[in-house]
Amino acid sequence: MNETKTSQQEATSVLQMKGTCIEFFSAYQEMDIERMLNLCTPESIVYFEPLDQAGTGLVHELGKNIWTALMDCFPDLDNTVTSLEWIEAQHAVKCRVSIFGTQRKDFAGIPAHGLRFDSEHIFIFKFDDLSHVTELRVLWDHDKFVQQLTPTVL
Amino acid sequence: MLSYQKYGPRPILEPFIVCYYDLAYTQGEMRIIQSPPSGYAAIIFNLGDPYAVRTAAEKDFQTLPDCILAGQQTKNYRIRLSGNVRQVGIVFKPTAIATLFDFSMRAVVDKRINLDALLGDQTGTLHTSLKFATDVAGRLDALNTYFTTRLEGHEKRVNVADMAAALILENTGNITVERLMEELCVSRRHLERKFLEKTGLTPKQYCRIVRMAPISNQVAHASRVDWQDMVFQGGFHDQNHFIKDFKALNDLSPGRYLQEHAELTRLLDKKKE
Repeated sequence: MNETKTSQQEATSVLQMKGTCIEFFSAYQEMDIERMLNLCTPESIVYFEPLDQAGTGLVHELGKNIWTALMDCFPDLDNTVTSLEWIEAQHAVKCRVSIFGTQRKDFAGIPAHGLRFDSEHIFIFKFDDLSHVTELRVLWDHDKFVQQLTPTVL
Repeated sequence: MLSYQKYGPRPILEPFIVCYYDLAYTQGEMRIIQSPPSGYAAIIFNLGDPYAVRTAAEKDFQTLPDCILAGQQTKNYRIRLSGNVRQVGIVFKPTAIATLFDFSMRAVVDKRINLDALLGDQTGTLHTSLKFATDVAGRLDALNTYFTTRLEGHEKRVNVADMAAALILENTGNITVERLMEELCVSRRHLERKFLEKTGLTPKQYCRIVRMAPISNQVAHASRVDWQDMVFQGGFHDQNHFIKDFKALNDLSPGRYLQEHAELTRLLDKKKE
């Protein structure tokens, strides 16, 4: 009986965590950074994996700065969540998300040419007991991202 | 007499440590054991008489220090045992040493280096506590306790290489770099750079080792082998590719390898009786 209760509780908790992820991407879609940040603890860490050391910092500082810049430079920024997966071994939720938008201002050293990017991303979220995000790891093909925003020279 | 026992780590260490092992060779005449690349790195403490190793690149056997870090092996190597040898080993997941110790494994491929380079002063302390532990449980306790202390702060060193290595192991090496890039949403350049730092190998090289490791092991412990089955099991296109890869890693043809291992298998079987 107890075991059933525990697994039910676990299932509920996984659903809650997945719910937080959906909420995060919904806020991202609405470009509501405050709502995105409110889902993460003040100490939560973000790893923008392709950026190496420069891509590691607090969600409320580095994360906020990067998302603000993205939203400013890509005013039509949008996303589609394609899958959500609970990874038992890592105690994390892995989300596969397509992020897309058109560049209107220079971003991270990439000059604006009015080009559009559409990039598959992976977001791996870890949580505390209250389903608040404590760690966020973001992966994408940065070379492809830059390539899409750079005009082809013939 | 030769005995080899494996033990699991504490659950919290399972993402990093495959197993601990205890190898004892007592009052034996000189024996040479061949070992294929396993796809794992290891820390090995010698608590008995010295032993020596010869890699494919070396002409002679080299006597090893008592405490060593063994990086990824890309070729079969030979271990020479004599007298009373007692090794306590820790087998790590492919990226675990880099993740736990912030240590690049690039310079350790096909090498065994003094453990001081990784653990510093703690090498001696750990070696002493293993030497003076009264039984296996005491040794396991010392190892579990030490490696648990190394977990602190490892999260910031986790990266795409850890995820790629897990995927390669999950697929027994039968996964392409393109599929890894797709699964992990990263560029080839980023994936290869991170993987090299953490394992010393490219993902492609590592896939080849992981694909061949269980086959080499199976051959080493079999008396007869269905080669066609091995070709299929390893996901090889044909027997020629299988033999070519087998030779590249083991320095011997599959048939010769089977023959050379028969003697060691008999020795271990005798011990079990």
